[in-house]
Amino acid sequence: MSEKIRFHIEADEVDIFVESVNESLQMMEAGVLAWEQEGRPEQIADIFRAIHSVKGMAGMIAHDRMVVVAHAAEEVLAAIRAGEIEGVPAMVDDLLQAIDSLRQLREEVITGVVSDIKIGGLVERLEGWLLVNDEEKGVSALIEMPTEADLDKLNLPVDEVPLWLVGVWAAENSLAPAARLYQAGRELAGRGTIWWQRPLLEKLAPGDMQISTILSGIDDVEQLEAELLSMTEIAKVTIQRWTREQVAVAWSGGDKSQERPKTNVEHKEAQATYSNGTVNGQIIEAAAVADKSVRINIDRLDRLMNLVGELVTNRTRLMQIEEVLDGRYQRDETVRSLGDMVTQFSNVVSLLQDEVMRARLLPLEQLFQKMPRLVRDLARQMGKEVELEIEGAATELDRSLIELINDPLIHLIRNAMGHGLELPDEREVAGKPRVGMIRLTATAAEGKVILTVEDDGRGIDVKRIGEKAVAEGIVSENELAEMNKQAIIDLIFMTNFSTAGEVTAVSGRGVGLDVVRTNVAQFGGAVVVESELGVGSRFILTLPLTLAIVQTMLVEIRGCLYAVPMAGIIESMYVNEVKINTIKGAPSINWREQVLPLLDLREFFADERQGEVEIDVSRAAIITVQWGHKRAGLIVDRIHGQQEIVVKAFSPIMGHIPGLSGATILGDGQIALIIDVPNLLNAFLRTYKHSR
Amino acid sequence: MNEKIVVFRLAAEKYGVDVKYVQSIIEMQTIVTVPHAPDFVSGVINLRGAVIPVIDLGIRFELTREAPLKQVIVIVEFGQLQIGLIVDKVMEVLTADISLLEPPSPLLVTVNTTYLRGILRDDEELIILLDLARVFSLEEQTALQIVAE
Repeated sequence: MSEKIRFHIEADEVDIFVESVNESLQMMEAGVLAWEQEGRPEQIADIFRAIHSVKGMAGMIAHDRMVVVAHAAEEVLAAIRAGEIEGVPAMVDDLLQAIDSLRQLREEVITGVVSDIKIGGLVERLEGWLLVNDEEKGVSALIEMPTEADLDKLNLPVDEVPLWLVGVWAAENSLAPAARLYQAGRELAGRGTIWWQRPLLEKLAPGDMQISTILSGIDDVEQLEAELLSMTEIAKVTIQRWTREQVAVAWSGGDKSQERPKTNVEHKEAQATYSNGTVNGQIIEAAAVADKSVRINIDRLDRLMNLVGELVTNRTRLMQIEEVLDGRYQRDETVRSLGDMVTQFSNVVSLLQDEVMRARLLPLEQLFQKMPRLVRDLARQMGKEVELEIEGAATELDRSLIELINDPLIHLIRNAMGHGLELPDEREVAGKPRVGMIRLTATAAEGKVILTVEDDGRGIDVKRIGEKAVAEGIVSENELAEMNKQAIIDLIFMTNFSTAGEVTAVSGRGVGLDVVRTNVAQFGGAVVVESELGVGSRFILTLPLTLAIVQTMLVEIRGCLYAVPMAGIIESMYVNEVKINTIKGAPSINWREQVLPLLDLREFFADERQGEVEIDVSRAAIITVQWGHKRAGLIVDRIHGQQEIVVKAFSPIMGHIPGLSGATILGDGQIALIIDVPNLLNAFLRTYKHSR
Repeated sequence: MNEKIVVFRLAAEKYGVDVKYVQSIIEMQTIVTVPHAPDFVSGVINLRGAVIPVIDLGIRFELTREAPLKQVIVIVEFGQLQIGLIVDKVMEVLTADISLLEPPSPLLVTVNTTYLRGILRDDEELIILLDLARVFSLEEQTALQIVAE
């Protein structure tokens, strides 16, 4: 079934192609959604640019199906821009579907296999929008024009000299249309002064079929037109007087009087960033700024991060050696200068570590900008009205974490749309505005990033959750009676817990919030929920800034070293300072007016391969850890102190190890095993409950 | 079809691994036990800044015996995974004609034949060639996990 396909692209160019296409499609999607709401003409111009560059890139690698879809969408946008047709929600649906199809077709470049997507229907529908008044379609319809943003920067001599807008089209059957346009552009440059051009001559890409130029200093318009037309493979030339006012009438976005879909997307910070991103390439100053950054392969960054990790470990070892030497030869000049060197070295290593970590950070924007589309589609499917607020899209997070957080975040948004928000009529009855609110925020604090997904919907019904949990056998009646409100709300994170009455495409598919919590926990994050019945719910995700280097508490258990991530630790105390109660063989302590179950890691991590171990109980300590709303005290033989470590995962041949997430190498070459607090708590509290 | 084989001894038998998989041979060193790891994983070691697992072939092959005091670790790299194999002693590197490989018969060897590529005859001696893919088998790993749970 899977037919192979090859494109005109080298293997090492695939990444760049995919990323550039992604950027343009993302820009287009954000643009279409914003335009649907605001209907500003310059938005259409930006969207047009984006799809045009996708078409160009697809043409360059001879991806015909992508070109066909992009072309059809481009034609629709051109017609909107020329004021020939007006935007309606169904048209927006088609444009969005074109973006989806292009994303799927883009995959063919990676897989080398023809995808089973059919584009015929979509292309026909897109073309259908043009038929509305095809006959009136003027030549100017397809001319690229400057955006308002361009004009502000250009300082055109509008009132001083006559300006001409020249459009040149290459022949459809031309083998090298961009080259033909380039020649025409050179001809124009020889004729007058060029004030604006799109695409710029040096940016012409294979697949470009048209070039627009605003220039002054033309004496004989007809002669110029004739000369351009006489050039090889130039199919059409238009020359018209261009005035600033003409720009305003040349565009017509969506009409405000048109029926709008029932979403209202607000981007606060995010929007400001989009518009920065979309004034691309065409303005020379902007291009110069872009040249200061380079694309770097993520593998290379990973290797860099690993090497820095080793430096960090070596630094610790070096400092230890220096300390020993210092004690031994205090008066020695060389040892003293070694001390200075070590201090300086360790400062540089810290700075380097910081810089490399920063290089891996990306703004959450690329993740957040997917959400307006998701919310719009869900709202249309479910007949809900919703306003999405996005805040803190500029907050930065480690690149790999952004990828990992994608699915959990989408899940939470679906959950808020499906379970949280009520239908407009229900909201009205409840005395709320018909339009619901979903707020997505990101903030950075103390080396962590906090994401929240909040809705002003019906909130979590504690009573219903309780009944459901008992019915499903997740808790017993007695257990439920002892639980406080927050503990009951937390039950929604239990496996297979779903209160949705029916199974829909949106939520209640059996894959539930437990998956979100497990996934987030896998990379050292946590999810908690706050909710008020009738008022709404807020899911709070706490994430580490980076995965690679972690602050930990180093402890000793049965003669081996273990590292407990600080993120999970509340406090620590000596065993002989507290009174341990034992109920039915299960130990616990009273801590902060709660019963805190104790997990003796000296037993949990006992293994016959360790051989005989002598244990010194005099320094035994309890570390209280928390994850979500779960808490426990961990008993260890000894606490060594805090240590920054580089996480190294276990080899896959070892399989999953309960309670451990990997290992690290300390400054002196010793290995410490890293404790996986969420996993440990989950496994332990489950058995603890049974044993009681 | 000649292949270079690193030959080592484990209990009373000689085993061989294609030299292209062997990265280095190191002295026995401190192995950190990983609690709850599968039985045959003795633990992990620090190999030039990397944490790599060490497998006790004696246990993997279900040999019941008292291991000698002085063993060595053969570091092999297979499918981008580095693994240490604990063996009794490394004997030699020899060139062998692989086309003469005999299928592993349970009559000839005492270990579980699942992990073997075949048997070579070197004069009067038998050299048992290991199938590293099977020794490291991930599928079996998963199966082990499920059984353990």
